Amino acid sequence: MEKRITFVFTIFFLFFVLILARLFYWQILSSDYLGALAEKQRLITIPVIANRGQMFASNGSPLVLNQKAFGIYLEPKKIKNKDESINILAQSLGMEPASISAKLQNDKIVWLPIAHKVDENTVEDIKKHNLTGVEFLSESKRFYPEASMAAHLLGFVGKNAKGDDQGYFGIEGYYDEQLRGRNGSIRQELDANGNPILSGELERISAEDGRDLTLYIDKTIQFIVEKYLNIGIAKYGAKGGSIIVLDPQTGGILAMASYPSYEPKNFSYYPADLYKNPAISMSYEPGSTFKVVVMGAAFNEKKVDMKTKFNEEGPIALGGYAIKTWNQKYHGEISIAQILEYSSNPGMVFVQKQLGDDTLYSYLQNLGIGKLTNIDLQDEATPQLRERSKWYAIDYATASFGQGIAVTPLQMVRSVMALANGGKLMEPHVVKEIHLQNGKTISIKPKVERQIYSADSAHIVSEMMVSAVENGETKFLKPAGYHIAGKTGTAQIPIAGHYDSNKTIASFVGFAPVEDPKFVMLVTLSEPTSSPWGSETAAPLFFNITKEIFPYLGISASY
Amino acid sequence: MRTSKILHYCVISIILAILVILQVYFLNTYSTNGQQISDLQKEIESIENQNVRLQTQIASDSAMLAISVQSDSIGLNKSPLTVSLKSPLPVAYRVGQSM
Repeated sequence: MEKRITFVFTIFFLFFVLILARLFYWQILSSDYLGALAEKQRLITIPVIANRGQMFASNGSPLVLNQKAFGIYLEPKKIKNKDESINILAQSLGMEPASISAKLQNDKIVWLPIAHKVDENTVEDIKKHNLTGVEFLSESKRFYPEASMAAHLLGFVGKNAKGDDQGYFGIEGYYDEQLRGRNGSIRQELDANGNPILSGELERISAEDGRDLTLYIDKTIQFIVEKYLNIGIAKYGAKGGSIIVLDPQTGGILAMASYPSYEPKNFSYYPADLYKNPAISMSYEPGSTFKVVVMGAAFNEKKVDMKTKFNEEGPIALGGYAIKTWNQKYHGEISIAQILEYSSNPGMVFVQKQLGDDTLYSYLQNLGIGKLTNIDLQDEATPQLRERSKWYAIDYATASFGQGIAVTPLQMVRSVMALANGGKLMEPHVVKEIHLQNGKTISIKPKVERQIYSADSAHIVSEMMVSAVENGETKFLKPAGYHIAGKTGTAQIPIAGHYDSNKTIASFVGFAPVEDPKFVMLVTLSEPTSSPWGSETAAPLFFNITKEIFPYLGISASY
Repeated sequence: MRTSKILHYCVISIILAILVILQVYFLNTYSTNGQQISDLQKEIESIENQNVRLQTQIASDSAMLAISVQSDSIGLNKSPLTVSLKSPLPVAYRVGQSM
């Protein structure tokens, strides 16, 4: 009897120990794991993806918006008919069936991303087939209502190494931190059917959408500029080209276009070397357009005045080189204004000699040649300005007519902008306002970097530029009744230590109306084949654009 | 004195009982209308999606290229002659020296 009692007691004791051990295992050893498992069953965490900030033109019309898209994922173990699913997906997504089936070879994969940023219509088509094991997760993608307009300026959104959206080039790259926002999440208690419990646990971390940007860009001017750039490239057989239009009072970019370009929506279909914006990164010798900058310096230093005369009797010999006029014609005694009208290289050498080497160099530095302009675009680059000690007499002489010195189109047009606005060197800007999510707006104020020219000097050179347009080679191109300041430029391209006589960069820089300049514009064409001259290629393009901009801006003829 | 104390406890008990009943009622109600919440959330999402779709549609239709194509198709042309309705500007360019 006692034995049986002991036996039963032992059995009970063992069971007790087993239960204790199991409880110890559940409550102590596996408590974290089981707790997490229970929480996962009871609570759901929904990520709230922040919308990327959008971009608007100066009149509030959209340039970049967001649209709904989907990521498509496969759960290989749940797929019933693999071949059929692969074929349907491949057909709908424009992919090779082999590329999907190759990914499905690995049996260990439970969650396989197939495609990102797929549009709603495609997803609806796929859903009609009721495929098992195909999941769709909500995403957002960029929408460009104006297609490829201002592509170089806007940049594009790609994926970084972590697989997150990231802006590259242009505004997307420069303002990536402002545009990307911060993702949030909702942690909510669910009932047995998977529906949320209102009185249950709720933890919300709000997503903060990216900041919207309003640009200085005028969509109509941008459209006009792109239209004429494409026409000009085809008409003059140029390899490429770019046009920049700035507001001289604020330094705001009204339009900026370059060719060849790409579509930001399908950026991956284009070669990567097209992503860089030539208007802010291309290094070129500005040629005769640079003469107005040097002339401005000479007037500002009072080294020349309107009574100054120059005897253009032949080439100027300097350091073993002969500096000639562009057409080998010499006009004898000419006025200072005629130096620009005839685009006289010897005349500019004379002006540079009056100005002096050191003074010219300090003006180049003050104008920001060789330095970034600090434009709010990601991919700006600049050629270096050679050190002062490496300059020889011939370098100063050739720099006076824009050869032997390299600038970017943006640096060039900014220097001329200082003549248009009374002598102020402005910092160029693309973004005008940043809109915060709390309703506040940060306005980016125009920034004057420094006063380069006195207002009087700037006015005199402006009027000389008007005279160059009205009496120079472009006199038949300009619209009647408007005072337009301008200067042509034809620069040979340096190749392996010498200039290629057949390849040029043709350009025209100018602003209008001179009475109260509303825009300053630079047109550059790389290697035009119909004619190498700026007066026959870039200048007509410039004037065709101004003819459309004048009525748009409500600028009436003044005489 | 004692009667008022008893009355006091009775009132507190009744209030507590009402609160308990209300809590049970509301918890019961709220914990079983998850389907409604879920439906409302879906509706909100659907309306937000519609707004995004409409926004992109409006942007597409009012794009410069779309307007340009449409204006060409209905025969609108650029005027060859610009007529200024403003009064002419003065002959002098600006304040300052002139050539």
